Amino acid sequence: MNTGIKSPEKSIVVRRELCGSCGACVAVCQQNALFLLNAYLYVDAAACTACRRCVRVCPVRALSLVDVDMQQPAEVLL
Amino acid sequence: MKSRYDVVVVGAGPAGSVAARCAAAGGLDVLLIEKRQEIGSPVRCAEAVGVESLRPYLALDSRWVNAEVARFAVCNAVGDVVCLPPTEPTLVVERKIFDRELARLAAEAGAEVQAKTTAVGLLHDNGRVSGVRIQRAGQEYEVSARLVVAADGPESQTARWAGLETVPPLNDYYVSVQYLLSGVGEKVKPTECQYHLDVDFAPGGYAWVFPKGSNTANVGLVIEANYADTESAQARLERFVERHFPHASVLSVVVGGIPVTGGIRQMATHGLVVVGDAAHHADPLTGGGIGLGMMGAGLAMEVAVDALRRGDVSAGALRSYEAQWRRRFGRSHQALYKARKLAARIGQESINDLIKQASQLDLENMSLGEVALRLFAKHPLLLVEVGKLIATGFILK
Ligand SMILES: Cc1cc2nc3c(=O)[nH]c(=O)nc-3n(C[C@H](O)[C@H](O)[C@H](O)COP(=O)(O)OP(=O)(O)OC[C@H]3O[C@@H](n4cnc5c(N)ncnc54)[C@H](O)[C@@H]3O)c2cc1C
Ligand code: SF4
Ligand code: SF4
Repeated sequence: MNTGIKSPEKSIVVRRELCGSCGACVAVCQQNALFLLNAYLYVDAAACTACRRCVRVCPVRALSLVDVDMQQPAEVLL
Repeated sequence: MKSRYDVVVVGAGPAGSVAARCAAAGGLDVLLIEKRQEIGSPVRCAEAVGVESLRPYLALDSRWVNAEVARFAVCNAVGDVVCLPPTEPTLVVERKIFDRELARLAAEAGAEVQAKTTAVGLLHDNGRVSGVRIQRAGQEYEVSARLVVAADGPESQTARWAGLETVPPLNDYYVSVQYLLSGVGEKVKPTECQYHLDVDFAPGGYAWVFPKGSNTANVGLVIEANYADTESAQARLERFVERHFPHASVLSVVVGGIPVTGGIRQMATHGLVVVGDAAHHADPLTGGGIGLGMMGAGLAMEVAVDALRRGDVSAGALRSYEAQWRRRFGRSHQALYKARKLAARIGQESINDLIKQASQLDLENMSLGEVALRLFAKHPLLLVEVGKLIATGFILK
């Protein structure tokens, strides 16, 4: 799985303190770009098309789509 | 964990545990994996379930029964309430214990159960699914299987890895938040499940209050995902709780999604079957899927065990499960699906009015026909809509 820096300028960011690991976002991602492993949500930045379906459905608003600073390390984007 | 099994089941929710148990009881070598570290926890459920759907799979046990439901109270936005007896005997259960008991029964039947063990991909051989890539305790394993059962719930990736379409449209997807509240007081009766139809809180869905005993209750709501844009499900629940239970404490927070399409198009492929929420088996009106998931898994394994015995786990052989599922649930699921769309279409005012009218009727001493006549007299629009439902061949069960 690619968890590195996404080349396009947008990326999904998870606020871990809000996320309840419920998988509601995973279920609606048409690109299969989200994956829950050990209760952590990972974003496959290369597969994400920035459609915002996951952002919209998250019951606790833990996801947002942000402009990516290409210099950011991968961990910040996960 | 071995490197080869007859059947690998991904996900130890009610559907997965029933599937594993049926396969093991059929004399097969079975592995059941669950990615959570504790089966049944965290809970993603309001925990109401009909007794009939449980009966084939486990005996009632006071350890996981919190309440026996004597009536459903359906409430509108302006304080009217219609009370109905449950269509079948219904329980509110403790899923932490219930799910673990189902997994234990699978183990007792001979299945190997492994928690904190995640499927991270599928193995393929000649165009058919031939096993699962599994991550466990920091190691990755390739485990081959003659049959893989995707029972991995609404987020099902296993079915998608096999090329099946499981992503629901947002207008057929419920998103949900629930609090386990303590100190609910008089507003919650120990044997009554409340449903609140109020678009202000739960557009395209409903809010519920289910008793859990000891002055506690599951209080939550589902909304159609499209409505989450304007206000999140959690923000809506906060308002609902503030309105109805301003002094209660929150003992736990549950979040989740439920696909309510009424069933995915293709529930089996070469070497793989999909069951439970992964196959969108849940009731497309209420989102209830515990019992339906278990029954769906039972049906799937009847077909699959036979297919394995005959040595033919091709898509053709396995899809007879899907045909059977549709014969059993297709019509009622379509009717429930249409009922949800109908409720959304007639609008809050009609809902308020219908519940008000119905609350004034002596439901216990009237036939369904009489009730319908009285309600339709004031709601010709509803008559037209229900007429359409009947005309297309679907009558509510
Ligand atoms: C808030 C809420 C309230 C609900 N209320 C009710 C109700 O009152 N009554 C009712 O009948 N239904 C209710 N439902 C629906 C019900 O919870 C589901 O229909 C039911 O749990 C489906 O069972 P399942 O076995 O198919 O899936 P699940 O119970 O979701 O089990 C799937 C399992 O697979 C595991 N898994 C996922 N991916 C992997 C992987 N890669 N590897 C290993 N394991 C994996 C998951 O961790 C999970 O344990 C509710 C749902 C929600 C969200
Ligand atoms: S929908 Fe929200 S809470 Fe659920 S897993 Fe995704 S980010 Fe986390
Ligand atoms: S923005 Fe769209 S493509 Fe990207 S992770 Fe979310 S749902 Fe998937």
